[in-house]
Amino acid sequence: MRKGLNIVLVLTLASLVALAPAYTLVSMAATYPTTVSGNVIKIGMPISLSGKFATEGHQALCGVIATIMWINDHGGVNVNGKTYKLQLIYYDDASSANNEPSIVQKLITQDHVNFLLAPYSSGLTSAAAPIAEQYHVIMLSHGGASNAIFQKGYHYLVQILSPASEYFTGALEIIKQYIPDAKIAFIYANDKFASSVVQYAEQKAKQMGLDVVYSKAYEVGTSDFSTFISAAKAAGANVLLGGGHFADGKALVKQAHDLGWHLKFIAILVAPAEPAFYQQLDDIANGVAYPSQWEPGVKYSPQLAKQMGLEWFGPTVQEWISYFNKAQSEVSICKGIGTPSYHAAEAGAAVLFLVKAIESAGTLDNAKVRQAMNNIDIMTFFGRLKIDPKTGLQIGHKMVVAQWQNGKRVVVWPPEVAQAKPLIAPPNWWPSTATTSTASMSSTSASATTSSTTSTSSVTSSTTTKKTSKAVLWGSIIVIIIVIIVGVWLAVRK
Amino acid sequence: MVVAASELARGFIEGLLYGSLLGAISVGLTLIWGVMKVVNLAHGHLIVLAAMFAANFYMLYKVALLNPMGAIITMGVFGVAMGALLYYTSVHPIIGHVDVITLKHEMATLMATFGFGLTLFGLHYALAAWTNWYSTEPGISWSFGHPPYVTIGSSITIVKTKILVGVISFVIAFALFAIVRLTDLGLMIQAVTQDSRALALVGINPVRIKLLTTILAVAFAMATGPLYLAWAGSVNPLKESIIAPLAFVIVVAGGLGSIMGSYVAGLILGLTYELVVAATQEVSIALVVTFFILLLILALKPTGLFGYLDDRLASALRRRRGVAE
Repeated sequence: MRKGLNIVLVLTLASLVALAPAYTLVSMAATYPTTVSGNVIKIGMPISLSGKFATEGHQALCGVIATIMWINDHGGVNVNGKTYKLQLIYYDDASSANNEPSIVQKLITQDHVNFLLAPYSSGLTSAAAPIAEQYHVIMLSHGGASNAIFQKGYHYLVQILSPASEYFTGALEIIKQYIPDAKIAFIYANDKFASSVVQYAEQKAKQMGLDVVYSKAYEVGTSDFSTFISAAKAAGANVLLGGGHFADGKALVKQAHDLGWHLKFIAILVAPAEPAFYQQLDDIANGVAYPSQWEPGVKYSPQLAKQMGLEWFGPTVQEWISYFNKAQSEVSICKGIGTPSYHAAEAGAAVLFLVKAIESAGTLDNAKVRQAMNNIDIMTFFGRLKIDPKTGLQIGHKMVVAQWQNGKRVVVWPPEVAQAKPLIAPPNWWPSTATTSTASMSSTSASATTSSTTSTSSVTSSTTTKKTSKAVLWGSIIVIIIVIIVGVWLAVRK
Repeated sequence: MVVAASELARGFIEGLLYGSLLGAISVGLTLIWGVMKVVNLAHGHLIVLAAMFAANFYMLYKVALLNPMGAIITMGVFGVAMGALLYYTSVHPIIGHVDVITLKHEMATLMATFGFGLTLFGLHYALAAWTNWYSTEPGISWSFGHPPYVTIGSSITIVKTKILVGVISFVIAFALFAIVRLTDLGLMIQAVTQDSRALALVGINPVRIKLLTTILAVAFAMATGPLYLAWAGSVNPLKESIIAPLAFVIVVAGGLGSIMGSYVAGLILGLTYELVVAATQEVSIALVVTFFILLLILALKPTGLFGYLDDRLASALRRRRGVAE
């Protein structure tokens, strides 16, 4: 009995050790660059380097580091004739809103930072914002898309990324232009972010005269969507918009495909932006679109800025990506992150917007810099940046729509920065009627792209079926063998 | 809101298939808990472990032995090893040489299996941190048949994978029932908890039978992990908190220790759930209604509904084979 209790104790301790990463406390401060000579502007940032936002957090942090690297390499910040270098001070918030107030307070009162960058996600940003407001320190929100945070009257909170209300605008514009007989179904998670995105999208669809035939919110964590899918199908829907998180967005797409739902256009929040989406879904992923704040393939350029009559500020897209790669090789925390996602780009853009505001204000005084931000209207590698003076909401930046085509993510909207035309009625989603649907699709201008995918996708789908049936065959042979072995063993034992 | 009859019919079919899966998920637990009196809190973690491994390895190597159907076998075999590990770490030290199991022993094994389960839970995150291929949110694109769905009548479409999962779930549940109720090994398993000293008197090693029971329970639990994966398409370690409560409630409602009883209770739960979802189009309402019905069952008949099923079925099958009672 005592031995038993000892083992219980050991096991419990072992499990606590295994779970330890989940309970890590607020970590030590880290800086980049570690030492700066001369004048310095300190930027503070609570960021998620562990916990559920660790992936996005690392991306955001390295986006900021890459941008700071670029600014410091290109002469630093010019404040009224004096040159300053930028320095970042950051803490890991462990993806927990409870840590935000103490970290922000520490950054302001102990580290004496001049300006703040917000943590990642709407939830953490709304936990950090009140403290920054209290101390009258500017906080740039690069990962908080929710409109609600900016309706609370914070003066020093400024948004860099497009708000939730903009997420499906591009997708709706594509539908309006390419699919005259569109019947839209919204199937989305009932959390804050996804439901506010869809709420705005439904209003916008109504304004644009689009037909919404089905709209349903599902519980976060739902994994079986067949009820909603068959109801939406029964309502005649041929366009699917929705999703929410990675797992449910992916399951929704897979089940819509498995149930033979012939869709002309699919746009899903969040999930398709991850490379794992294609790894896990293979050919099914082709044709799935998603709203994105930024993609490595966007074509924002000084020429485009000139066309639009805007000032270009900061590195070009290629230059910024090369600095992001430089950060990966030189800064240990950024090692092995891979290609930058939009989480990196929006955080980097926040630094550029801040630097532009400091330079035009000609001072480090927070109230004056905040005042200067109201008049800024620039184009960066992240796109246009301009804020609503009253609320701090981002109104200049336009989201792009990206789509999986032949296993690659390509920007398909808006046309001026697109890499390819949107793929309407992806052939892998119309298996039995592939020939007829391509014919009808040639009426849309996407025909060039679709015809090239038809051949490749039909090849892959036939090989996967072959693979599947072979797999089932082998599986059943092995089952039979095992059953025989077990049976013989039981018989012999007698 | 008017619900179409076809929608309800679809809910009924999916409910049977889902219920079959839930039943299969619970049978391993009813064996170790009902027969051996070990409240195995690691049950859900073991199923999730099997599903996580199946998904991650399939993402890595797309071979037949690792697709969800092949993984039923691989994870079943892996379950033999995990069963032995569970037995020697959490069960044997406490009740290995105990003849009559008391409440004190039950509490001790409960805590031990709890620790075992938490270790497995932490293992996923540790593996994800140590390696670059292990994902805590794995998913698979595998689906059965081409096209992957069947159309019944004019408007009911059911994914073929779900039909396959439902059928295999029944086979698994029935196989465990057959082993426990129709073989000599099964007789020994039932005898060991009743009086292990008497079992030793007739020349059978009780420790060996306890080990075999644990292995059987864990192997059958882990074999259902890939089935859950095939049903849901993806899995993460937190799914344990959905699977385990369902399994525990089903086992109690079906009658502790009754394998076919658990299976039938699983069917009822699955049917209720899917029918309510089909009728209301709300998952949240379905969960409340389903658990309320189970609450009613437990309040009115705390010993469970189908405890007698195993005995009746076993004697019917034995009679047919001409074996004397």
